[in-house]
Amino acid sequence: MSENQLFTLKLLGLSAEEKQRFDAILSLAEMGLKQSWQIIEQDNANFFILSYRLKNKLANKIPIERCIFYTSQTIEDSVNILPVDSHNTPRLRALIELFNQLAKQPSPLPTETTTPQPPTTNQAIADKCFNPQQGLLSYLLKTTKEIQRFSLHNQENLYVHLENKYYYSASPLDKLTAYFNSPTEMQCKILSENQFTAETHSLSAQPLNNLIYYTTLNIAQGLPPKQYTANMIVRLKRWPNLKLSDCQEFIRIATFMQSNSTNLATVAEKTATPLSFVYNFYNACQLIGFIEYNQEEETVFKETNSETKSLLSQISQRLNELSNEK
Amino acid sequence: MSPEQKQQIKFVFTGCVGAGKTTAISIISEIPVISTEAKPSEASVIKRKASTTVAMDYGEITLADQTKIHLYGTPGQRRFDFMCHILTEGALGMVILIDNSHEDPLAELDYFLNLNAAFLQKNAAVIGISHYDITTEPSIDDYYQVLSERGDPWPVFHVDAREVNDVALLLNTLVTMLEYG
Repeated sequence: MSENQLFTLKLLGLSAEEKQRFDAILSLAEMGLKQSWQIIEQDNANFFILSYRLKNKLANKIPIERCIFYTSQTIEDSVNILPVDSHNTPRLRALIELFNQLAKQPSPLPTETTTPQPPTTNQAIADKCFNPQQGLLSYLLKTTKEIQRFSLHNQENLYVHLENKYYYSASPLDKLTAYFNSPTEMQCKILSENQFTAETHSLSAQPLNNLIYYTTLNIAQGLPPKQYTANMIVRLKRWPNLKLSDCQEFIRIATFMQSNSTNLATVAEKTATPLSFVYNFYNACQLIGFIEYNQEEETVFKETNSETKSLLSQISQRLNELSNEK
Repeated sequence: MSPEQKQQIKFVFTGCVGAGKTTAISIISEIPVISTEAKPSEASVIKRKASTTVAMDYGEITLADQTKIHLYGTPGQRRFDFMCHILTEGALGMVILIDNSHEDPLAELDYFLNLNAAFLQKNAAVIGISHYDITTEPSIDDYYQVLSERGDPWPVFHVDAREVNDVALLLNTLVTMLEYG
């Protein structure tokens, strides 16, 4: 049985903005890290992240093997080096390689080893819930004001302007799926406003909500939302952009959820849709703020007779045929 | 649905001049669209189009059992507004098309929702925003804001009236709303 270890990090001498960026990169790196890494404020961290400039100054105070020195210079040194850009933002791939290598070495301090235990009921439920704090999505949900460029081999760049709530890319959404699980080869760079303007002048701004919505649909895996209870009464406040690729199957769910305040199991039952689809749709709409919560059910179920159902189904089928024919 | 209702399954396309009502019906209709085009007379329309619908457009879709779906397009010029009330009689739903490059598209949406308020109390609508490729202002969020202030629940899509997929999406949404809305 393999052990899942938690390694802790303390960031020393970084500004609040630099800490935010470090945190963002660490979130993005999660998919490629073999162990768990967490930033803490306490002094008993396993590792300390600090500038290479401070190496000699702190040499007597912190064991060198517990230091990770960040630098934007190319340095030949046997200490742990984390390459960063000119804004002290770590390079994603380098961070993953270094942290995985450090995790293999004998632990410099007693780490909080978590030998797998039989899960409690709550833990078991939590494990089977959709966690939006993963990969690219965790970055998109941040409330900071960064402008970031994501790049991947053989893919068009993806630019995200968190403050303006837009994203930019030469590729349509359905061609950006390679980014959604934040593969280890993904490069991210914080851009200045000027760099951003220069690189995106020919690209049109697209609502960030569309990217969050579509990313969630692609990674939610039919899992129920966090803190979900079966009697949670929800309603769709407004329609998401159902014109996005592969999203037309959600028209039925959206129509029903806008007309009715009810729980998700009822939505699935009344729309004859798998509950996993309803969860995906709910998770995506919830993250863009299109869900409202109510105390009581308010339902206006239509009892459509079978003849009408059949006719509406025929119309829908014919429309789909015409779409494919023309 | 009664046999009489089944005889006249119809959807109406309405909205401002130049939004693409005739184009949308043409692209989805299985018969050549019957159109009543003429030179426009209203000054605001002359600037935008060489010819415009003056009475109605008509197109058809036929189901496997030969049931016909009738598609009607209303004229965009204000002086033919009375045609809206005639054409929506007995319709199952309405597609409202708004030209996003119009000088005040949000006011146009408000206008057509008011014009058809009586119909929309009992029937469903979807909103299609055309020419979104020319300008993305106002945004889809702005249209939802107008609808929210009015308390209207209709979905909004940006569409290209020349694309059969977009027109089918509007009609499919309407059909779904009839069953689940």
